Amino acid sequence: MLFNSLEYLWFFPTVVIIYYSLPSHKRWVLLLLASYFFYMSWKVEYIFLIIFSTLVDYFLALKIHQAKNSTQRKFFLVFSLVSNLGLLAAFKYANFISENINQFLTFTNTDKHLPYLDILLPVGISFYTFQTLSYTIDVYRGKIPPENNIGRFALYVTYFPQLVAGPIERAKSFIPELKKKVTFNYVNVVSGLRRILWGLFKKVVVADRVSAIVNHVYATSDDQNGLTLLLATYLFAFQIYCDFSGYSDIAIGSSRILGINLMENFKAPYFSKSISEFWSRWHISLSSWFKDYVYISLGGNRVKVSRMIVNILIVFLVSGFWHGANWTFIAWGLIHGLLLISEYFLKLDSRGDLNFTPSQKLIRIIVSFNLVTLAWIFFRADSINHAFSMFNNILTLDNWNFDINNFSLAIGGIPLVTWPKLILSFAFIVIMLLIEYGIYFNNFRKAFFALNSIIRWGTYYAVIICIILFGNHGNVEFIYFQF
Amino acid sequence: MKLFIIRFGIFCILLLIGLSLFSTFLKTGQKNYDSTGCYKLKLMLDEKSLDPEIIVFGSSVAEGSIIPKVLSEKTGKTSFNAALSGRRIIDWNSVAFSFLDYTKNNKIIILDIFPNAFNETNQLYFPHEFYPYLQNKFVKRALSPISETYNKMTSLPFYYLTQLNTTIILNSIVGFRDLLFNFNSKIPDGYMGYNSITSTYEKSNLSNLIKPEISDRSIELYEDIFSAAAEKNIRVVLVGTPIFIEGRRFYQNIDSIYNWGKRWDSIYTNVDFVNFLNDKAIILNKNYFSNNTHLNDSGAMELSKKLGIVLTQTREE
Repeated sequence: MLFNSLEYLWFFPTVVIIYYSLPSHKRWVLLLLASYFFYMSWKVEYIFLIIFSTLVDYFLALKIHQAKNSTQRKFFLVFSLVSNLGLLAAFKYANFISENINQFLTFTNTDKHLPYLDILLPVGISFYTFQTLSYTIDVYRGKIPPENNIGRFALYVTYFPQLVAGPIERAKSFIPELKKKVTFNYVNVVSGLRRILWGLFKKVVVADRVSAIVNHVYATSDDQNGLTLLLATYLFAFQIYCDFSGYSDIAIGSSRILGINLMENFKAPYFSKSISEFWSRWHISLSSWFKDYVYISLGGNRVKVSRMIVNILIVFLVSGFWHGANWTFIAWGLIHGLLLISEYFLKLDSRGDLNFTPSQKLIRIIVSFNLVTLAWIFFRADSINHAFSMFNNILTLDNWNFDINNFSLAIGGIPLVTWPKLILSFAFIVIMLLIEYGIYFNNFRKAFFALNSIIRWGTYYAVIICIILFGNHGNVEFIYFQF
Repeated sequence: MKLFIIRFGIFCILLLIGLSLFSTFLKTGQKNYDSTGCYKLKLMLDEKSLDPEIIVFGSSVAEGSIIPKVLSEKTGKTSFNAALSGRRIIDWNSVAFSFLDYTKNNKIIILDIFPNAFNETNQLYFPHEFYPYLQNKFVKRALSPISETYNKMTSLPFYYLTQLNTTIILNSIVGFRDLLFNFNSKIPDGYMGYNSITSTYEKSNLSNLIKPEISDRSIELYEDIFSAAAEKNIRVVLVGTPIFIEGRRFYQNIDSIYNWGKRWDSIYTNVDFVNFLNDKAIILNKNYFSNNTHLNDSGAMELSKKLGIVLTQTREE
């Protein structure tokens, strides 16, 4: 079930109405059932994977807590890591690993080859696996006690607003959210609705509109000139941001209506003044996960500089690999790792109380955004060769020319992308950026609430009309579902 | 919670009113937009005022090939060409079933058979012409099975708004303006639905062979029309339309399409098949065609005269 589908339009209000009709202590049962239903609407069988993950981590966390010595505790932790990562490896990385082994075997003229497994990637597996892992590790580290109620723990793993694409919550903050007594709060509910509306706008009006262009240009990249490829890459930067942050907005908004707070996942990342700042604003729940459970475990930055560089590279290579079983994602992670290391040596990190002049800020934002965007080429390309051929085409300046027909196929002689459509898409991107800038840097929220209700309602209606009239309503999946 | 329910209720009601007003504006404008497609749909799906003794249904091939005036002259019966450009039976059947539902005068229905007549498609040509009539039971029945989009359009309020584009909005503005201010219609007085094509033959540079499909749904719909017509004692005349001889090589399996005409002729007592596919007087004459499958006005005159004569004959003759 997609957040931007009509099914969710019926499902969610039904859950909310029943939720607030039930006594507070029984609501978790409804949320658990609703979450299982939500996941099973995609593929029924894969619910067993979640149940397996839930049971393994529930019991192992209890065992870790009850263990008498550190060897036993370690054993149970390793058992949990192997089970969870094994599941991930089997369903997500098995074919990638066997493909690469097969290539090596071919290279060494060996006759035997590993088989290709015809399995469908369970949606959201990387998200809920990391969420359950963080729980077990936190119990092991003594940061949290294990959850005794298996039902509540199952809800922690499967909570539908964030099940398939995050934010990846931590047990320390999220289990108490699931346990707290929720009463209907007008401000929270309205704020949740507003957040859903904004998320839908970003997903349906911005991301899905440009996805048609990006998909076409990338699929025909060999026949495209450099300018078209470059423009499509910039459009992809906004597509992936609006797609993923739109999902997070809807997840956070839906959860807020239910009185359960989820962590923020994005904070206007394209206004970052450095790559390190970008990673504190982009997919925050994942980057903080890697920081807490991988980077710090490796020693973080309290080690020699050479070791710290290795740590950064490990984190970003693993982060890239987390995104998908393809060398392109690993290359993307590597690029970001190298950019961060360069920033460290050049002392370009913009976090902290640094006073930049407006022009310095602007230059930093432009440079950071362009670096991030060019790195997206690896993320979006089908293979490393594809990415290099894209760069090659982009850098061949001789054949740069602008032709709107390059952006789409013509169906029945009518081009799908016309000037008004392209201009409208750019206009929506600009509107989105201005609003996000206002929200995160200029106290836009306060100013908005100071407006009279007619203007506020008018704005909501305008956004709804934009979603209906200008959105792409082809039930386009969220990009991060595949990760 | 009470405050929220009240405010949210008011918000939704206002939204509903706004969308309904916008929807009414678009539908009214679209219904009155000055195109032959909109006009024909309005006559048969909305006003239900058109009730000739001879009516033609089909695609642009029939719309530009059969001249009702000639049929009327030959048969002495009132005629109208209700064929719709760009359409196949999977969507124009709504018009035929609506007509069959209300007609009292009709004696003969003429349907075209041409190479792509039985093609299945999930992307309709100008679907917005149907927007004002999405709740019409015949339109609903015709559009729903075509694709999920059309199913949603006919079953969910306002869903069609998600399919809007600037062309549709501009059409609606023009249609609404025409309705309010009675602008001169482009539809001439005494319009009988025939779309005259005056251009001379234009050679198509087809690089691939066209292999027409035969979809089960199309066959089923033709047969449903025969049965519905039989209940009202209406004769159905299937017209196998001519193809210019030089263009014929681009089409594969034409016989398998046209043979359905023969088959139905032998099965249904109220169905006659008149085949012009091999009519040498037409298919060898380039001056009769505007392209491989569409006749121009000279060709239409020739075909209509011949068809008119057939219509005066009984089945046995």
